[in-house]
Amino acid sequence: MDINEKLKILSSAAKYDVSCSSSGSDRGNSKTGLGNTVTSGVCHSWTGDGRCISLLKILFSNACIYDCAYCINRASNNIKRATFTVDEVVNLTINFYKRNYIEGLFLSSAIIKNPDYTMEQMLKAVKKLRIEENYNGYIHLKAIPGADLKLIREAGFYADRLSVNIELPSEKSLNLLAPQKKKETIIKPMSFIGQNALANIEERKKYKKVPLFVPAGHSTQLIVGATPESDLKILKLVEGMYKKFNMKRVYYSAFIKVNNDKRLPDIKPPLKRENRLYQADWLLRFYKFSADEILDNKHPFLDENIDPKTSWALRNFHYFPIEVNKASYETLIRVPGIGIKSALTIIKARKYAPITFDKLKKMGVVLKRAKYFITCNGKYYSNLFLTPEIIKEELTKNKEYQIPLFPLTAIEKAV
Amino acid sequence: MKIILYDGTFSGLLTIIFNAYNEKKIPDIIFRQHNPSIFNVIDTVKTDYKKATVVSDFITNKLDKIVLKNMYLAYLSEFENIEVDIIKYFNLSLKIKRNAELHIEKNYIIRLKNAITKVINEKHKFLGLLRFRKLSNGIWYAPFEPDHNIISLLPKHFINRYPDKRWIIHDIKRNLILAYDKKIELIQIKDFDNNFYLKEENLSYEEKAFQSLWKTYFKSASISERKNEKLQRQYMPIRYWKYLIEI
Ligand code: SF4
Repeated sequence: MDINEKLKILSSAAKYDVSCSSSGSDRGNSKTGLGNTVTSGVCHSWTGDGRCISLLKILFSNACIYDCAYCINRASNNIKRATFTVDEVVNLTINFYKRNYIEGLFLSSAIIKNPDYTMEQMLKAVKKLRIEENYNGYIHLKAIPGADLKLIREAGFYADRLSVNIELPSEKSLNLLAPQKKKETIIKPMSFIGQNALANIEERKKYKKVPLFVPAGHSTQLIVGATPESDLKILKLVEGMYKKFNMKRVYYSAFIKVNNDKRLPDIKPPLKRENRLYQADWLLRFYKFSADEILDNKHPFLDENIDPKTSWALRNFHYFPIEVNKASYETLIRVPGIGIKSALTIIKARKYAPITFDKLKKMGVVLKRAKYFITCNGKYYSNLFLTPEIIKEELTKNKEYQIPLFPLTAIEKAV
Repeated sequence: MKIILYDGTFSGLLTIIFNAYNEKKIPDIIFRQHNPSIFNVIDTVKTDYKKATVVSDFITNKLDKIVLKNMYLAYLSEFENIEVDIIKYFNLSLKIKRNAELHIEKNYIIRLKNAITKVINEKHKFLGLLRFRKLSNGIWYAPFEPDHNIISLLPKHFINRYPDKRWIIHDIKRNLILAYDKKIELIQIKDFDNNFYLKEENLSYEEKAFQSLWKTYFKSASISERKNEKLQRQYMPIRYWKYLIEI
């Protein structure tokens, strides 16, 4: 099979993996090497669906011996199969990188022969890139569930990021849809990587020469909508992973039905839900919210019509309005329409002169949302006596407010 | 009304600032050389490197390096009459003896900040959108036509990325070339064949093969269930497509 054909098969097989971010790693280059990584991440192109292309995202192989219900590459599907050689992966990566097509490599694989064999092939490719080709660009490697932890550990010294997909939000669902994958074969490497990464940070504080272990941390991916778990259950799980496994990012992937299988629901990809989950995830990581604040047993699903922060604010209307000229940073970032950047600007700017509504607008605060929750020098933006119900109606009837389906990168930029 | 003309260089702008300080008067309109020529009713300011150095040294040593950086970034935007806003920003910083960028109640500060954001965003975008072609002589060549004059902001990133290669980045609109071969140089050129890189014989033998692999990858990476070309264009405006390989 020629390389063009292989690339076509093995990149389209990988594209449903949504983890497109290349940020979070600062690998400086040596004098003679090739490449560096940039902390803020770089997009090199945008696909027809508006997603950022940053990495060459490919599978090593799609000839899988497993049979997960939701996966296009499962053994029982009748599809074209292909497997790269180690040299082909290296060659493609180097030559795309030199032309500035990509920021680096994202290598995953179906399970060929057995988990150890698969992991070994991937390890060979990254070792060759780093050692023989002197390549310093970004590498994100998927750890194969069930592979020897020794192999995973070794891979961690060559990759910027290592990740294990959690796939589904509960053990029950995993048993149902991916019976050959066991919960421990996922959780074990996940906590192993987390521990090793933390230990590495400590060691490097003492000895500068200790080699880097997954400097960009580890992440995971979760399919949304294939199984019945609520958003509350998902967010609790995610919150736990951030805390326990020292995880950098969780990626949510709206379930796209590619196989006909009785175990799978008949739904359109829940893109809105995916988008809301990303917003809720931001609240967890940067806005100091807990999962229990974002949702509760009475409201176990995120509202599709309104973003999670506004939902929270409307349910907790007794905290508002707050006075922007006095409120602390922690209070400001909880106001719908005020992001981290504008909260910091408000705090800096109000030292010189009181903040007015006009100024807020210039700072990039989304007044359309914020105006219901704040006062400026004791003044309300409008004289209406408002209740949460009326505000919700106002906000949702306004077409502009209905956020279009952002891809990941758009959300990252917006906040 | 005071209208002046200058050569469009940053040193030229600093010269204007030097003069304005001495004359205690800010010009109302400032044209760059290649702007519409309005006969000789306007003064031409001749760039004076000594004056320019006095101003830049003063800002770095007595005021704040950031002020100079902001002035430079805003200048690169090439927005019409942005020079006047830059001078006003400098004057305010001088008056309050520190960086005045937080004074967003002034419209010229808003305009200045807006220009800076545009320049920085475009620079960041082109870190990704530049495409290098390998030429038959072994040089890697990347043409582009940015809205703003951002080429001088690119060296650090690409030297870091390709320290071992010989490469050229070419701003075709402004006839500027950034050339790297262990050393970096920014050169103003004339009469360069702008289609040079398109000619088959100038490309290395394997170039076409990798371009076609990249096209394959680009096509197959898109998810048709999520088609959204409007969004694609929002991130990657059509005016940037000319030198991309994939689209
Ligand atoms: S192991 Fe991975 S590639 Fe194989 S069927 Fe399951 S999800 Fe698909």
